[in-house]
Amino acid sequence: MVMINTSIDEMNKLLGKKLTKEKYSDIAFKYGLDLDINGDELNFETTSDRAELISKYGLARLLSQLIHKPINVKDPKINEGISISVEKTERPFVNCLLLRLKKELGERASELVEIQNKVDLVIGRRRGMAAIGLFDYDKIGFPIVYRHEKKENIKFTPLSYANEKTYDEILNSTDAGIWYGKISPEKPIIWKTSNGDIMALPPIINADKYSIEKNTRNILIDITGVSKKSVNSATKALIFNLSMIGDIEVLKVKYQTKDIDTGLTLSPTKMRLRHWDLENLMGKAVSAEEVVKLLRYADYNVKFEKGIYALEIPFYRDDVISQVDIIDDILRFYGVSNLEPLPVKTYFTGEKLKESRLSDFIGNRMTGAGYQELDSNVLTNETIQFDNMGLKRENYAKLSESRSSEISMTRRLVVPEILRFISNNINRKFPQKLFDIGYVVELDPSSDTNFSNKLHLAIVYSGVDANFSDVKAVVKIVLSDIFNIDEFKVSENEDLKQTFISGRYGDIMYNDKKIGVIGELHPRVLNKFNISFPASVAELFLDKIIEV
Amino acid sequence: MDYDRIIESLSENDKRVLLSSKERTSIDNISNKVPLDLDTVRASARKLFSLGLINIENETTVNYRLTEVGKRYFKDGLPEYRVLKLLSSKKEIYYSDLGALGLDKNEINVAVGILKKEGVVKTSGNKIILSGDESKIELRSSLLARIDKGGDINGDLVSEFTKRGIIAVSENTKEFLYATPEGLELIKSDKFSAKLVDKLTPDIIENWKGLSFRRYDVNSNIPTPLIGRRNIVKEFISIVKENLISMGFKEMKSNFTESIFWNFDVMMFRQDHPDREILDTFYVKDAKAKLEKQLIKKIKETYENGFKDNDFDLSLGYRSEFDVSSSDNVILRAHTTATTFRYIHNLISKNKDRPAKYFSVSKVFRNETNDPTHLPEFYQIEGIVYDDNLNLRDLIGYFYEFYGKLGIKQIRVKPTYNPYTEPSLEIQGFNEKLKRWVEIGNSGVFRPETLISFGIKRRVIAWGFALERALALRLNLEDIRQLYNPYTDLNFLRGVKTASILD
Repeated sequence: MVMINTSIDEMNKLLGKKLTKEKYSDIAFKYGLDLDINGDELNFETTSDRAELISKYGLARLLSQLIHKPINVKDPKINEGISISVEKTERPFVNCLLLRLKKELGERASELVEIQNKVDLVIGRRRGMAAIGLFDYDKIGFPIVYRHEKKENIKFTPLSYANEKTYDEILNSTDAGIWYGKISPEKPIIWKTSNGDIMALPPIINADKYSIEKNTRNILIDITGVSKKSVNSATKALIFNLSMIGDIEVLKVKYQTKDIDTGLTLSPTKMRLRHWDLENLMGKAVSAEEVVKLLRYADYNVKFEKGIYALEIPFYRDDVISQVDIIDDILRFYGVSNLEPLPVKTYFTGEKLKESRLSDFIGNRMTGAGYQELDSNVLTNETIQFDNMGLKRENYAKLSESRSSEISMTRRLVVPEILRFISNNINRKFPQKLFDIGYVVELDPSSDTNFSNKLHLAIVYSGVDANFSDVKAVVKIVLSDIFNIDEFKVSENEDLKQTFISGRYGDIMYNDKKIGVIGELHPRVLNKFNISFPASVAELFLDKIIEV
Repeated sequence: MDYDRIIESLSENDKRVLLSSKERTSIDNISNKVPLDLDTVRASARKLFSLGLINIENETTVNYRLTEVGKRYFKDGLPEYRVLKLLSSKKEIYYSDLGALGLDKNEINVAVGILKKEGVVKTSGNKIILSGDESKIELRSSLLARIDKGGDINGDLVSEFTKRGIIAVSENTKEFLYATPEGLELIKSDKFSAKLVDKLTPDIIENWKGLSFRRYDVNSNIPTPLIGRRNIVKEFISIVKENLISMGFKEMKSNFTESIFWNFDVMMFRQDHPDREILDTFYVKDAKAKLEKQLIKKIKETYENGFKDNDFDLSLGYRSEFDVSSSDNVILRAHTTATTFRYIHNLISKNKDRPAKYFSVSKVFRNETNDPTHLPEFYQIEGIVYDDNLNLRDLIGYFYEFYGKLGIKQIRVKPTYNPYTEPSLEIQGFNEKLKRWVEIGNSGVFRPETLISFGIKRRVIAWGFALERALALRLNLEDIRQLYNPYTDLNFLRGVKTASILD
């Protein structure tokens, strides 16, 4: 989900240890972090549940827990002495942090920007839910206010630009404006300083004047957004990571109305867990003392009494919402490789679906007749399914916003996909005698999704000598041998006259029910598929046959 | 050279072909003259060649023909010719005047481009002005006539016309045979005309005494005939299904079309989270699914507030609003866990006391562009077990049993994250060919949040994997698209070894 690229040296420095490549590899595997080691580079990939693992700093905190030497950081302080007010806007939720560095920011500015980008992307969902901004605290004249502003009143020099720009210019001619214009609020929102300056235009861009620089000592961070949960989650992730490089203060914000209070709290959530439930899920006895130790490494506050763990979940662990999440944490510290497999018990009678059994038998009969089986695609397009075949575009599941130009629907028939296969294998040896048994998607108002799967058998015989009778012969064999149908009629159907040569096609009828189609393809269709040999085809609607 | 032995091994057809090759002759001619079908002549030619009796030479000729577009241009005139004709009467026209020609925009652009390139016209703004020699364009038209008559053409125009789809080029290779000195020598031999028995007939079988039989080259390379074959993907599926059935699993099915509700919501995929985006989803246009209101209500409640057991919080829920406004969108299922949950709802929840095992091997769909390791549709294998007191060691036991049956004995597990299982384990197998551990599956214990709405308090363990990737590894395929029908080579299907999936 998030890539964290660091090196053995850098990580060892943060941990204050001298761990080897192998050790990193072992820890990562045990805990379930994806780690790709390339020379001295460590490339970690974290999973989407762990919003707080967003930089090497957060990762170092986790790794320190895993080697049982947790890095200690100062708990954030609450600072009520700075005047920040937030008015009700379209992006109503706002938190503010102050990061006090121990020394000048220096080269770490780029690290902070990277953290900002990841938070914006992953937690903020490309700033849609939440976005953060970084400002040089010492340049700001307080009090500051977060509020709507008329477009015509907005003019400032955006970050890394030399000249002032108007609101429209920012949206239309800066990268950030073009990128984030889509999510910009209907009525623009600004941060305004005490001397009337515009400090930022969230969630799009900050003013250049207040940007962080090499000599910055104190950084104001604003977290703004439309989702209270995302804003708080981003705030906690920042505290978790940035506590490694400085002291964090949570700034008290004056909210104009109660409903926009983010209610940010860093106090831990409490849960209880029975020891018995842990062992029952693990399938193994473990000592409570050991579990308590592991939980403490994982930064939980824990008391064990009368078979029950009373737990405080670390404030930054938004992903822990359930007893099973706590058990998962214990297991990751305990090591799942310590769980021995148990033999499979409780044997039942297994069975295949009726359709699967039927497909097996039909497949064997078809291969006996010399046909090669395909496993053709379900996703396709109207050109192949309808236009090339001379059929009307109707009654099918049309897909929206496909990423592939070749995909815009699910198949209604299998034969066209086999013809597509032949046209892609035109220089392979003929005759090509091909078949497939598979599902098509049919309009079906009785299904809760309006469509349902129908099993079809498709047969295509293409080659110099291919003709109608060859395909009719195999259809006859399958119907008679597998379905005990010895009498069927082929009756001409006007709807298919664009597809087949007149007098050489028709619906396959049994007991007045249409159970398939058979015919010799018209040269018009063969040309569309670039096939230069005759081809006869059949498609049997197996569901209809089973119903009969 | 042992002529006698060689002669004894020649069939009557071989002899006829050799006799026809005394002078350089094409295979087609021999086939017509003898007469024999082409394949037989070819087979004899190869045999005679391997015996050093004849030489084979290939001659390639190139043929051109007009495509549908070409034929139309031949009839109506090339677009550039038509533009020019319009222009030569007026000397100066506007782009908009070209509309009258009934050409599409692209054709007009190409035509004007060519006229400019050939120096016949100039453009200025929207104006096209006649400015040069028209003969070059006449030349182009006459070329179409030549191709139509089957005449030879060459030069730069061939590639231009091919690119424009006006003509199609095809190559035709002819084989010519002529006897070597040894071949000619052999023909002269007395024994050459002596009759040897080729095929046994009822008559020969009765009166065989005194007859000589033609010798076969029993070590000759014979072409294998095209036979009917099951598809390799389906053969692998068949093995997987057989293993699961032998372990007591029953097969499940559900439709390819699914609702957001059954694909995501019932599994408590978080709504404010990228998890839903990971499974890139195909949406079906203009369709709405019918949903059960009671069930939505329960799931919304669990998602928002979790649930308790006595006074224990089993789950706190996600503590944010569950939005049901898009739950009835119809999509193509992104995973077969949707099928599993329909079975949990329809069968397991109605027989809570009865343990159950279900599986499916069925297609799932992802809206991604395909590449050597990703397909827009692929088979997902999924197995679930419902029982009292199932634990992680049971789950791991199932991997050993299942993958062991597929020939994978060295297995290890790694914690991982899945949106609807906790704990979740990635399954890795040691690949002997690659000499490294590779992911062979994903698994876990369904989150209690996902089951409580169905009234289920016992555990469900599950595992699954993508079939094509596992198969590609078995078959040493570098590009998984070889297993995807629009990209599959028929020769691959005809030649792939089933042996590679049997151990």
